[in-house]
Amino acid sequence: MGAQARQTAGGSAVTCDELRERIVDPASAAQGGHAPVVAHLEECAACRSAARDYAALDRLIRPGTLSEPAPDLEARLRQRLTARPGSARRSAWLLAGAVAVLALAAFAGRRLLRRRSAPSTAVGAAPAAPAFAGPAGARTDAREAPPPDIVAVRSTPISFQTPPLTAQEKSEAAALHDFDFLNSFQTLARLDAFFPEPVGPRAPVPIPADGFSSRPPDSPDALTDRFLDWQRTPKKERERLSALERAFRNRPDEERALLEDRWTFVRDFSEDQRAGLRRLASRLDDLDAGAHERLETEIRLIGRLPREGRAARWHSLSFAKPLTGQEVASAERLLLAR
Amino acid sequence: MALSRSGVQLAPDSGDLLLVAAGDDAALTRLVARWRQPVYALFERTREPSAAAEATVLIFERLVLTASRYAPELPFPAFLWSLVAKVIQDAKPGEVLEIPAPKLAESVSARTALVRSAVAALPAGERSVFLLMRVARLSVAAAAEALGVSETEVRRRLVRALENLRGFLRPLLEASSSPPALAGPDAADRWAPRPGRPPAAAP
Repeated sequence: MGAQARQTAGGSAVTCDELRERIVDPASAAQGGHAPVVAHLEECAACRSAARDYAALDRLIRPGTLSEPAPDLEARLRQRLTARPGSARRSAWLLAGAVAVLALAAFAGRRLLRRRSAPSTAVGAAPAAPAFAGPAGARTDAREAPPPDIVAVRSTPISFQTPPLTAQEKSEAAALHDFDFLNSFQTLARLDAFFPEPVGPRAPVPIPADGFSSRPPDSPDALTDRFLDWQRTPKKERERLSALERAFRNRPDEERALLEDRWTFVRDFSEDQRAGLRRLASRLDDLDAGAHERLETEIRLIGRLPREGRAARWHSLSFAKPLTGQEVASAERLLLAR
Repeated sequence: MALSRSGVQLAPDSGDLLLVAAGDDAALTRLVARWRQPVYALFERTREPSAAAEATVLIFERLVLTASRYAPELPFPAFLWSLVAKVIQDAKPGEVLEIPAPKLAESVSARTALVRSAVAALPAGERSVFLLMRVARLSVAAAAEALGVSETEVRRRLVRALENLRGFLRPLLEASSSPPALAGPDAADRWAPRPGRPPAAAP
């Protein structure tokens, strides 16, 4: 604006500065009447140009469609709140862990005592020290403490104080697909460009004889693992996973098979690579239909190349240029996996 | 709906924030459900989606941590947006991307990246006013309350932000004001800006 901005345009009653401060705020634009604003704009080409550009900037910046964050936002929030030192949630988990460790000590002590022969008791050894240093009234001799059913699963301590699953909870848990799959299928659904269908009629997705790897648990071992996982899953997380399961089951059969088939390519991806895929999906969301179609064609061509030539071709695509290293690497792994 | 200490019925958001302060998880879920989209949309105008989601998580984390300091007399949006403004202002201005015109013409992603970088390159005070007013659609009074400055200062900052953006985004503004170079419906479709998206530059 410069010095000119402080001058009035012709004989109008407002300066360029005042005018611009008024036109950016509809509420104040009306103050003092519209006439001085209109008069100024009629006389001042610079302010007319500014007004046009301000409107164009509004159109540029305002998203036409509601942009939604990833569905796991609340889960990430709760994870951060839990991870904060001193948080009540963290303290609760630490306490549960500590109780589990003490219980393990009690359990081990009891086993040890059982194995000892009579002489060790005969020497008049003092009774084992209380394993649980709780309130005096609640002290329990280790030999009297009931052995915990489970104290750890895959190195994660389990509080044996957690109530066992009810039949209904077991039924809910058993019906769910693989948790990682549930957390990923919505991303996979947005990665169409990286799973282009061959030109021509689409053949139905072949379902493996023993089902997809993402299927709900069906063997006794898998069910046991699932129940243990479910037992230590907080209520909110259970609700979230159940909601994802419902969302997945609401999709048409053909689409479900397609997504489970896609999962077979990415189930071994690291957390970092899966994060890359989520970012990649967001990039694809930003593409218009034409650009999406062009990219799909390119990806289809890359799929026909020998594996050793795919990475170089992928890196040369204009779509890949502004991507982060994580996004490029995730896409590359996907292209090589197919 | 929660009651304040005075027994007055509170707006749902204010009541829920008091419940959050008392450790109510369901209230937090309701607040996140109601406010995640507008907060995310604001950050998504300055950074790529995963970073915008991260900033959104940070806002809700701060909301929980500061919930005990919330005075129900203050409207909830003012409390929330003041947290958002703080995070916006904490970010240092970045550089405006230099993207060749042909790339801008052919790629929506490139145009989006340019717009994001331009907003992120604004000085902190201007950026926060611009985002609160133009993306979150706050009034001048609400933006002034969130930022703790006068309404006059808010208007000044907004004008300065728009003037800076005019310079940063000149290639896109020129393209949006020029007619498509190719005639015919096909060309018009190809280069027509999508609603709310940066318009394509002329080929």
